[in-house]
Amino acid sequence: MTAAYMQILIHAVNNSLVPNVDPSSVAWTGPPPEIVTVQSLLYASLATSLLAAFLAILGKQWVNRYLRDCAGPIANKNRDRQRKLDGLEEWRFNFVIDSIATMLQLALLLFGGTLSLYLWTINRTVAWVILSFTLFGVTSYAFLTLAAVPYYCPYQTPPSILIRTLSRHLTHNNTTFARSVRHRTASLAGFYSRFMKKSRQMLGRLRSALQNPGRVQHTPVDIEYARPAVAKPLTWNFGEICIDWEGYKADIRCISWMLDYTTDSDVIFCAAQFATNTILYPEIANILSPRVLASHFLGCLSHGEVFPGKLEHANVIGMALASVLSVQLCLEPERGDLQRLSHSIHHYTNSVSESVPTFSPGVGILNIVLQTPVQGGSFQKWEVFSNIPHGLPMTDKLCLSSVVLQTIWRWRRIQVPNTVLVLEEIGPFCKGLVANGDHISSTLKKTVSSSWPSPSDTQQMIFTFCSPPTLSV
Amino acid sequence: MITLNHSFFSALKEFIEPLRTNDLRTDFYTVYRRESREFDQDYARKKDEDFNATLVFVSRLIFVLDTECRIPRY
Repeated sequence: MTAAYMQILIHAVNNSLVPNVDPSSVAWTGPPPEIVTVQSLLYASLATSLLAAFLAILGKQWVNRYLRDCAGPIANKNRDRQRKLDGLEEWRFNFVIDSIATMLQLALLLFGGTLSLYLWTINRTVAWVILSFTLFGVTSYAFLTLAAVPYYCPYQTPPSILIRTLSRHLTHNNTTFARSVRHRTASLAGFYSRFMKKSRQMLGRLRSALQNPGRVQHTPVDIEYARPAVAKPLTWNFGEICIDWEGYKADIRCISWMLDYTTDSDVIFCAAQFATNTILYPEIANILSPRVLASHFLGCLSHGEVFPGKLEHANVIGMALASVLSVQLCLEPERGDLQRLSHSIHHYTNSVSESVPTFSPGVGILNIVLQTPVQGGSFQKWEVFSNIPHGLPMTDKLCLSSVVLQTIWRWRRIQVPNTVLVLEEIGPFCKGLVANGDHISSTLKKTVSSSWPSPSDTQQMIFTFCSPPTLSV
Repeated sequence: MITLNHSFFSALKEFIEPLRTNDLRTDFYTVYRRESREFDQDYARKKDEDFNATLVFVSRLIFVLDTECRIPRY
């Protein structure tokens, strides 16, 4: 064969050397085309599985790198670890690792297809057996992928996650492309949902017919699970004042992760205490979820009372929750989910504050934050501070001061000019803050005077703010 | 609103920031270290098992492709 081609080439170059060679007389003596196809598919399957093995080895290296600590103090090590953990989420590490399994599935599909094709050339009966199994596998996989598009379906595959992500993106986007895709997929989705509904009904009837002949069973109604909306982070420009934002963000992310991950009440207490001590600036206010803190706080309560021995936990978690809610309500006062959450917690804190015999800053401050601001009238609930104990820790005072300032600001922002806003029992509260002899009150005064700009009524409020017993603006 | 917020948070930063204590941070990070180590070791062990399973599967598949499937070669 090769010799024949050589003859043709030489003939093409120089006619005189090898005359009278007929190219059509040269016959193909290599493998038949089916075998070439089969071999190509087999090599494709081999290459896919080798690529999966390559990714698995790389994955081992990536995980080892994730486990490695950076040098430096413990806070730096932990912040570095938290950033790497956030990076895993941000860069879809788990999705990439899950795609290794998809590659293996693809390799198996290629292998099954190749085997069917090869056996088809030898014996069709045997080929049908392999082909039917392959088709069954492919069809099942396709159905499982489509069925697993809802988040809570257990048969998740990487393609179903991809479809879900794409559909969410298209649903929330309003570009022309997204609109056209929405329009086109609406009919398809309708057909699919009708098909699934009919299938479920038929399966239900079949099951009921098999289990209880003569009785009709209704299929349960699907429950739509609402996923919480993710708020966009806000950015603020503070000018020349410098703060270690990256460190702050890492701290808050560490707290957030720990509150999400752990179920140990002492660990939750420690995280909440650190959250109380951390100032929640607008840039980082949305990282901590008030829902998680609220669930931990409500975990300390039972039938309108604090669990025995959980008062300290309820206090600290309550203060952390008050800080987070307060700052988020300052930034987005009209946010519906925050308002709903506030209402539901308020119901519990009202009953708890009546049952707690001693001063409880966490419950008291929550009662203040959770009051819905109204125009005019009295700003009540300050009475919880009239018996503020001596020697309240500095962390608690800082938290209380911040939350009080933010709450007053929230109330003031909806008042029309010349409205008299009465802040009851503010005097004992301020007295209580200075009871320990530290300089928190002057700090508070300075903070207030610098945070309420020029209008004269505000300045007047600043002077009366720290003077007992009642403040009128 | 933005002006008020701006000055309000800048005041928090200026006056309350210096009063914060670092003891709580140290305590927190000690506990965080313990918890995160437990989580990470568990996570790494699971992933390592997945990768090992993948490698074993691939080796078996290559063996099948190489030896069991007797397709004529040219």
